[in-house]
Amino acid sequence: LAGPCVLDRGLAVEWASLVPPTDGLEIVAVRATAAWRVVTLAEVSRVDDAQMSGPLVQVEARDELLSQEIDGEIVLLDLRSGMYLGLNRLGTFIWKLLISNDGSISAGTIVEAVTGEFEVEPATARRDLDQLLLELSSNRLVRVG
Amino acid sequence: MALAQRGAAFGSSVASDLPLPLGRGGGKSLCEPLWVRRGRADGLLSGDRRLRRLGGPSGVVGMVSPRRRTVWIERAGPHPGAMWGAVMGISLPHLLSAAGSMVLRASCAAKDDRAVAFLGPRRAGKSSITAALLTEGWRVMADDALLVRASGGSVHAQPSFPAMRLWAPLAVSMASTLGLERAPIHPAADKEWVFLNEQQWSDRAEVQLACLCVLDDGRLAQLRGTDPMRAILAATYDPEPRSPERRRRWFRSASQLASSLPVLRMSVPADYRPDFRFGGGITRQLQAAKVL
Repeated sequence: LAGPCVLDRGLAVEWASLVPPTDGLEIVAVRATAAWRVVTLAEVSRVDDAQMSGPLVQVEARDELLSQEIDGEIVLLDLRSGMYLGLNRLGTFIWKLLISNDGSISAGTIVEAVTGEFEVEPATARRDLDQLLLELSSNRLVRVG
Repeated sequence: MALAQRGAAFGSSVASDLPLPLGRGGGKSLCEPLWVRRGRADGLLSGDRRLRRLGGPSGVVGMVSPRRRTVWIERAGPHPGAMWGAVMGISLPHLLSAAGSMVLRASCAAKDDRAVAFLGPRRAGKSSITAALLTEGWRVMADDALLVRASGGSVHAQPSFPAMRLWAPLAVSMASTLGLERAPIHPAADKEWVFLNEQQWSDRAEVQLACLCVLDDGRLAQLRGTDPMRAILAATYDPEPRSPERRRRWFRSASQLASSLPVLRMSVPADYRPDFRFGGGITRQLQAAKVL
């Protein structure tokens, strides 16, 4: 079921690969009900050596989000759009970090926490975080900057 | 006006001005009856939706009113099969979903005291697989729209209506072998209706679901993590309008289902043929997954 397909009423649906992600961070939008503005990677988050703390990451419209944890992974539902996302274990860790810090935390702090929790190089953690923030911000779940 | 028909569909008794593929059991009702009326609604209530807006075929004009548990068909169009699809495949599932029931885009078959539901996008093979199980002693409970009820850690499927929409060669093969009636959906459609009788149709009030099967190309596996819930969310009948409250209920129901029964990924067997007598590969996969 991998890849985009079209269901009744022309609703564009991205069927997630049901194969568990093998490496890094994988976040898959199963259902896209609106064409949100796509934010380029450069716009979102570049945590480089010259910017150790990185930009501030804030959860948007927290009251409009539902989450359900299953087997250590979280499914998020945006009540505004009906779009839902599945986070793998790394994504779940980062999301919980965001929430436990009152919905606001620096990207650098996230990278530090990820490298402390998972056996991952800082550069890999940064790349994964970039990708997650890109997905979350383009779906208006977080604001970065 | 005298009612053309009384019968059962989606676990409810149905009274209709129009001929529909309804099951028996019109005298018993698990909840308030559903109505299918010819004509127009007398005024609008909140939640009433035009059939066209719900994705109904262009030749069928009507209105669905969840608060009145009624579907009005103003114009049925020249093809009765299209009207049956508009009522049974779109209007009644919407009516029930909007009223708070959980409806999955799934086909379902039952054997003894266990039922299995097949999920997947259009043309994934849900109906074909369900029809193929008939030769293994299963009975059909639903084709394409399935009403489910979760309670006390278990999930029950309720029978939808005794007809299936099958790819035409499969419909011809099944109808001629089993002596069943079939009817065209629309001249341009490549599927046909096949009406089931009591040998193929399960009219039990409800049967416990053993598992949900997502038809996919991958190897047989039980889904873990967020995959079961995402598969259920993808198969949940979309209520309109998409109010936050309905989305909240939709999410909770999917969560309840995902935590109550196994969700398998299952492939259509490589040697599958468009012949309804093909069923062995499916039951072998279900047995291998230890859900039967």
